[in-house]
Amino acid sequence: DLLLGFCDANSPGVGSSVTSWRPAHLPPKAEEESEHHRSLVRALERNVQRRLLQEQREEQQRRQREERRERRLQEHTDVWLHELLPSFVPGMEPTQRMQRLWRQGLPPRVREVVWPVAIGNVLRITPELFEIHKQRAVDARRAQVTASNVLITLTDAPPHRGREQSTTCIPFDLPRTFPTLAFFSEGGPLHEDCARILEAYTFFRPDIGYVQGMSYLAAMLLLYLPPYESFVGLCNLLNTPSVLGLYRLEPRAVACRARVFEQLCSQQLPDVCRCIREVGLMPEMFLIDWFLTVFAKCLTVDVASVVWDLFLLDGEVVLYCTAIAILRILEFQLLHPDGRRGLNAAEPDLESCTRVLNEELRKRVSDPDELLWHIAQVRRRAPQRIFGEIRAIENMEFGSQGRVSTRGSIASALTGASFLTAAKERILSRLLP
Amino acid sequence: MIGEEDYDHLYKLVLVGDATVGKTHILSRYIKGTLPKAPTATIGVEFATRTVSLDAGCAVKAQIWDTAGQERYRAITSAHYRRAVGALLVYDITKPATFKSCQRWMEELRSNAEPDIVIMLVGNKVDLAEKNPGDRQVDFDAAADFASQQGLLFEEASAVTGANIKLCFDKLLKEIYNTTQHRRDREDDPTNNFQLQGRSSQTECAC
Repeated sequence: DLLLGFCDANSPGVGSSVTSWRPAHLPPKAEEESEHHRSLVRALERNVQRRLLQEQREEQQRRQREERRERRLQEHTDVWLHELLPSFVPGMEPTQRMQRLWRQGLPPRVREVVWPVAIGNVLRITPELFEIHKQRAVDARRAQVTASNVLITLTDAPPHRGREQSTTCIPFDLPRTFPTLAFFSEGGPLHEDCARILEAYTFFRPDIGYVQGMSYLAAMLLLYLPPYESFVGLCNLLNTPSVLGLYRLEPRAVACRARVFEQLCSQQLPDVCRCIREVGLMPEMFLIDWFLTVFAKCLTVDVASVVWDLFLLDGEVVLYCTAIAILRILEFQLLHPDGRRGLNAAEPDLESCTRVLNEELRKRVSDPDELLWHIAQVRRRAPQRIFGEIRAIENMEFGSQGRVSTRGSIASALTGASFLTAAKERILSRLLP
Repeated sequence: MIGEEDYDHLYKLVLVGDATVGKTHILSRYIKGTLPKAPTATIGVEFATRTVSLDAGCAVKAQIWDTAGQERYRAITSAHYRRAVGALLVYDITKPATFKSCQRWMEELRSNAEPDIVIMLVGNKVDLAEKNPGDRQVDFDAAADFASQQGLLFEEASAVTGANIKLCFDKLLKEIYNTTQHRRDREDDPTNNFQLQGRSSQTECAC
């Protein structure tokens, strides 16, 4: 009866005429009953209006946040271009003010200047070297085309002969790199550059070769830098122990990093950590994807770019802090898959967790400022011991060479401040049990 | 439609095969009925489930692990083969090299997954050969011979049109059901079956 009378009643302002909709063959309602029904309708209307208002308010807040961010970026661009960069000498310790602005995310235009300086060029890559390796890749491709009856396999590459054959995978991966941007697919404005850079890298480091995931690194650099600078950036970025150690894709290297992550996670997000363990989700399942692409695959370009800003300033620790920060933002969804708490709420399981991490992540972690705030929180609360362990991984995998190159890269190119804090942390981590 | 939580058996399946043969497309077609909107290369592993009812009147939950195809990833993805009772080994019928690799993928599976893992060989991208017969580079008969020699199930399919995708999974799940059933009957030992007992069996780490 109620439904019959009110099925259309959720448009505003109909409460008073409700009884007139009543089908003619039914006896009229008692006055008490219709009053009750009218009040139900009014309550419904109020709810709808409240929800609409709430949505409007949220939309407005989101717009305001974006406008504030835009204004801030504009101001920061001016400050960077006119005040900070003219007096900035690569290799010098960035001033407190520069670091403070840096940690709020670089304005896009400034990245073109700051990223190459931050990555540095300890490998002393020259434009000639870039040309040589580009040409080698072209020659090899030509040789393959003429010998087209030879099978090009993606799998049969004996490591001792070099992994140059892995370039065959590049044309397949480019359209799948930032697919929503279409910059890197066949015919896209950055397709050629990206392919040449990745091929040149493969010939530059045939022991590593092209590994899926690298296309995101090259693409991310190309979004902000010219081709040669991007190549220098890619080679040097992949030369940092944190990234190179991962791209060798050894189970031990991955497991080490997963353990550090788990420690940090259990300290900062014990509920999420327990949840992940209980549903049987192994951190490697998402960490490999996140770390190999430095979050460029799982986040939108805008958000990933600020993570890169931080990563280039502070190094590997940013990978861990960002991973935890993302889980902080997703904590409620991970623990309460149907959005409810309490006895009848759904329990998280492997599926719900992977759904949140795969499908909801990009949507929910969409505000760069929010993510930066969480990363800073995670970092502040992280125990010193963790920083020591992260460095221990680097030194373990690459021996004394790794230590020298780390120090070299940071001292010569990155930031004196990071180097100093790193040294301080290293001493502290030795002193503390 | 079966409720997601009502199932009798949970089977872990893995999707393997060379890069770009279409593993993620097959999974998306099977789970969602559509192709991925913004396809990306799989880095590491991804994962999805679907519950289906078999003819035998029992419901089976397939837990499907999609893996990176590039050779370099093999060392880390093979850790995820553990406890897998079934595999879809995918090649691209327009690329002979991806078929040639199947031998190596099989060895990888047999040494890392359950020893009597049921493997379904899938020749993907038949739509290309239907459009242009010259694109076919791997004969149906050659693949079928290989499959019967090696004791694999075999189908050709297309994630793009959806042809045979459901059939592949259905046949594989049914075969797993039959072999595990047979095992259970033979050994008559309830603790030695091959189904995963929900979440408790998955908590151990691969490293």
